[in-house]
Amino acid sequence: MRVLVLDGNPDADDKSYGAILSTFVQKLIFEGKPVEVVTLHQKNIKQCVGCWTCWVNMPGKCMLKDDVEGILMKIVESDLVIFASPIILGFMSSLLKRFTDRMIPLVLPYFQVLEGEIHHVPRYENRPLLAAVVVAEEETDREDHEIIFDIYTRNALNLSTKLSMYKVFDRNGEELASR
Amino acid sequence: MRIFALNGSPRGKFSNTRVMIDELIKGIADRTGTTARIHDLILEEDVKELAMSTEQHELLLIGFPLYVDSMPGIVKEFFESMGALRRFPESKQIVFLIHSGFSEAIHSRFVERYCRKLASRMGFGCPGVIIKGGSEGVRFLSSETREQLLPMLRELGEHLAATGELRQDMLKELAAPERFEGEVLEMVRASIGDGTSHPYWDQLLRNNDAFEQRFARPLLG
Repeated sequence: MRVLVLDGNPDADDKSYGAILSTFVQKLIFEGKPVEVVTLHQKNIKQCVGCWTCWVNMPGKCMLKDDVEGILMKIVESDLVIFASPIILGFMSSLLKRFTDRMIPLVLPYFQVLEGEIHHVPRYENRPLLAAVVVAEEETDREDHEIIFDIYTRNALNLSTKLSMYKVFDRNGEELASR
Repeated sequence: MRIFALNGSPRGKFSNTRVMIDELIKGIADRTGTTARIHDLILEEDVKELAMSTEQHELLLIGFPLYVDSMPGIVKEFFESMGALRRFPESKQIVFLIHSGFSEAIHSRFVERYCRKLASRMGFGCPGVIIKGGSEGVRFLSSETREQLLPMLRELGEHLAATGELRQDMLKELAAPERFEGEVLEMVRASIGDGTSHPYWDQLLRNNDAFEQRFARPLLG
């Protein structure tokens, strides 16, 4: 199982987050999984501008030139993509969200009905499972856990895949929630 | 009443969000005589400074399109900058407008929960969250959606200025359909076909001479 970790931590000095994520990654490696970590704050990631070039102009290609295409190429070759981030104001970092917005070349503009709702159709045959791993902020409560879990479950549905794992750690690395 | 209005659309000035926020503001102006400037977030040089400027306002109107099931990254960045301030002595009201190209409101309900939680986290009052599906095309002058939608938003704004509240019946009407069910769902299913064609997308693809490449997979090595 090829695992890709998208590390959305915007703050390289956040040592407790860094330690928790690297412990988590080490565990995956001990399990024998090939893991690659992409540190998003070291990458140039522009905001999607909703131009739909990737849908109706140069299908599958983004017109923005930065580091995103290289990361998307890794995603389509992965079996599991883990979105990792400190919780900031109740949600994943804006850095991770900015990257997530750029994932629309992975779907076609066309529609299908999934679970009774309209969703886009995947462009690629390989649809990696998703996971979300977050580290709580001081004020994080159960409602925040639920909102993040539900939104990532939606992300998975939109990419015609499943959310296979969800973990919330506190700042000491203790698991607050796990599914 | 000092109003801070934010167009959170990454499309900037020519966006569906801007058209909708503008109409809310017109409605407020109908009642109060005061209008508000709309800040186009994508064009702002300093998001932190913009977030700081919200301190001087009593009502915040925050509009954004749904991007992959939640707020666009740049809007989250704006929220983070506002959260970092955390020194709002006066009581404030915050109204969100979330719209999406998907017809059903259900897609926007999850980030709505986030927005409501954000309001309470910041100690703001939240009269409501305006949800509108099927919004693509509102920015075009001749669109049918626009003709129906704009008068409603204006009325919503006017009522908000008069009472401090959003009319729940109008919010419900704007959000409908919540999801497709029964026979309607079957009609929708039939109309979108097998997921490999759609009149709207096919036309755009043909206009751009890209129809033959519509299933391209350029990311495969």
